[in-house]
Amino acid sequence: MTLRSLFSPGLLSSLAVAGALCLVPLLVANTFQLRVVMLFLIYALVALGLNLLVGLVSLVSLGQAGLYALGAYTVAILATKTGAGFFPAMLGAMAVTAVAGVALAYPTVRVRGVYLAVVTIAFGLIVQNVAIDWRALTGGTLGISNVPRINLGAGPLNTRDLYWLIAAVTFAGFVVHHNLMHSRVGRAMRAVAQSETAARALGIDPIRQRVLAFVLSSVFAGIAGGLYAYLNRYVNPDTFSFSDSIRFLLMVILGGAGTTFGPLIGAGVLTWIPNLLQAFGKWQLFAYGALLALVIFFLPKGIAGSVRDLWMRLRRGRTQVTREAGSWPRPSEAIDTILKVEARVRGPVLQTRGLTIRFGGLSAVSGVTLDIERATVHAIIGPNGAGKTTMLNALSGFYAPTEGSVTLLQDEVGGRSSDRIARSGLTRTFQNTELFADMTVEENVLIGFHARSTAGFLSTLFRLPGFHREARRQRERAALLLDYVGLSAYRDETAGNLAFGHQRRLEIARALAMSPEILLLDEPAAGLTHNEIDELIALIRDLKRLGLTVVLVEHHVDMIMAVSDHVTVLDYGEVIASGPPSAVRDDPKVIEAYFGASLTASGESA
Amino acid sequence: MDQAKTVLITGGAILLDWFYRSTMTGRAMRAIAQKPVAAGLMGIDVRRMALLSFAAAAALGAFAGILAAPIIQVSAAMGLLLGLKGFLVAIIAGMSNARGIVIVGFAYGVLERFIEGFGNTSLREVLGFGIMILLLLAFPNGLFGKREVNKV
Repeated sequence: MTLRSLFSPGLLSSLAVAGALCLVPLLVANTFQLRVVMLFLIYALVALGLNLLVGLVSLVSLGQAGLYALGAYTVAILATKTGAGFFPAMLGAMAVTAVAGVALAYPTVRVRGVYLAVVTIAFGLIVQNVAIDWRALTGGTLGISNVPRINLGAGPLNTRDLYWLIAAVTFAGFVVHHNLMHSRVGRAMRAVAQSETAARALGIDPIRQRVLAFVLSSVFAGIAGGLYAYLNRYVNPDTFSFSDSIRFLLMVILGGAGTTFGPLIGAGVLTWIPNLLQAFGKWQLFAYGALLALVIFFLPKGIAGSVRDLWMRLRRGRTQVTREAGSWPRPSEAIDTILKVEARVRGPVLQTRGLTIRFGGLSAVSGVTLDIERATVHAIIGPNGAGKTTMLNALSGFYAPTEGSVTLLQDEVGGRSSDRIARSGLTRTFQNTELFADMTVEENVLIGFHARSTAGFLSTLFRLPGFHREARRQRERAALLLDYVGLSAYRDETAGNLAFGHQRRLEIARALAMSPEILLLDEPAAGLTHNEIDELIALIRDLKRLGLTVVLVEHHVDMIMAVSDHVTVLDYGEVIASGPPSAVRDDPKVIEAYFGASLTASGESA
Repeated sequence: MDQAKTVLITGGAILLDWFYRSTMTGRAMRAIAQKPVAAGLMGIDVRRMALLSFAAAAALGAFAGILAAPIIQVSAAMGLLLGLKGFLVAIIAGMSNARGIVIVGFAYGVLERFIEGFGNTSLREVLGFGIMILLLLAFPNGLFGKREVNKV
């Protein structure tokens, strides 16, 4: 481990937070102030959890107060009615909120955006009203009082001890939050938020990522709720209203969604501002609202987000360099070992039998039977609207076949989800390149490794040695792939800023990071210059040499003739010709499909 | 008084429906909701229409407030729950379907009174919102919304 990696930004920020937490007891004058700090730490914990949801998977929850309430009530009920100690009660709160998190994540399978926001609002209101109404369990509007003090074995904790406990829990939350954000799991979550389609093509299951984010954010809120119950020693429904949910979301947005320190800053501002504004007397609430509106209007990325942007701009201003992309592909032995495909099964790698895709009454693809052989380049061509892209979508699992079958490596995959198909060894690029536009070039490639990573979730959260080893190896491999496509100079550039041709290259490099056996390219030559097309031809030949099977949908006739081993022609969703390029080119049915019947007819009559 | 109110609400809803479907301004509003860029290319002033829709929405909200004031308790926060339910109703019906929203809104009001008859106000919220969540899960595009085909 080098000195540089020892003093990583992550470690430094953790040390800064730990230092600040240790200083607090020295700085506060009385227990009242200490209690305000503790309340801030509890809010910060909720905000950190919510930031995983808002900042990583871009889902907005307006029901966080409901989860916070579940945690608080679970602890209060367990502690007063069963006499449970601190650890069992907190574990209970975590379990209850984790289950609620799964239940809340379920709607995201089907609804997103405002729809999801409404579901979470409704959830929060349901929890609050159940707390009001289920008097036998929750004490109704009066709530539950006399929650016992925490006793860890050496007598009840006093206020100062309680502070250390809450500070330790919040610090642990901060570290877990930071580690998750800067790991392959956080990266996969951001990928899902930016382009679900591309994430699926790279073998990432979007539902899994969303459920994970929801459960984590719920458990954070649950732990915070439990601590609140112990701090306040009294819980009642008023503390968990819809406006509290809004405040939690505001903390995240005001601080800066998706940043490490944002939630802490946001929670801090919203805890102390009301105290500072007391000077305004009856105008206090008005001043509070106006201040928030102004900050969000002028700093749409939040406080931490705006500071980060400013810092990036200052740094970029200093290091202005001209960069050039290298020529590609650049084969090397190292690349060969990454991409080389060992034949595990005999026979065609991809087959369809009577494949039919219907939308309503319209058949986009009907009765297509194909055999795609290993280590060949198989082109699918046809006039516009012939069903080529639909065919690719069916092969890669984005559409389920209405009839017929798709067999990948001797395995029936019809109807299987696209991310599972990707993990089985088939990936693709898209007609309108689907990059993760807000991430760097290197991150785009790293996401390609996600599905093949072995470092587990816990090793990611707590940065065990396996995590660092794998992260280092993946960065080395990403560098090799970027060199292969000639984009090394752009490693830290934001992908969305790349020139169009370079975006294509990056998309291919990202797909290759999965070490696929079969690569589907959807119109890779569209919009490229002659030079770039020649390079693309060289790339496809090189991939074939390495044993990859390339399925190509393309309009560019010269390119198809140059690289294809086999050409299948579709027209109105049906195969009208299939064979070697030279044979297909002269097939009268193909000429008719492209130029119309009248041309051949008038040619004969003339 | 109640009869006058009923006439007023029904008449207002019918007038609004006519406005959306049959006037140029109404059509322009629906157009910018679907494809703002394309609407702009057709010569519609997108900013102006957005301003107009916001103003109209505010005016209608105020009108609803005037009608609701005599039946529910008036307070500074009275709009929150009411607005939330209005939003929920719009989503359940399918955002862009004005007629559907009227039907669902009416049904939700009847449902609330029905639950209240058996229980109390907090039971009303629990069951009301619970049913709404289930409906949204069963019909992700709303009861009257159009199904969108997810193109890759």
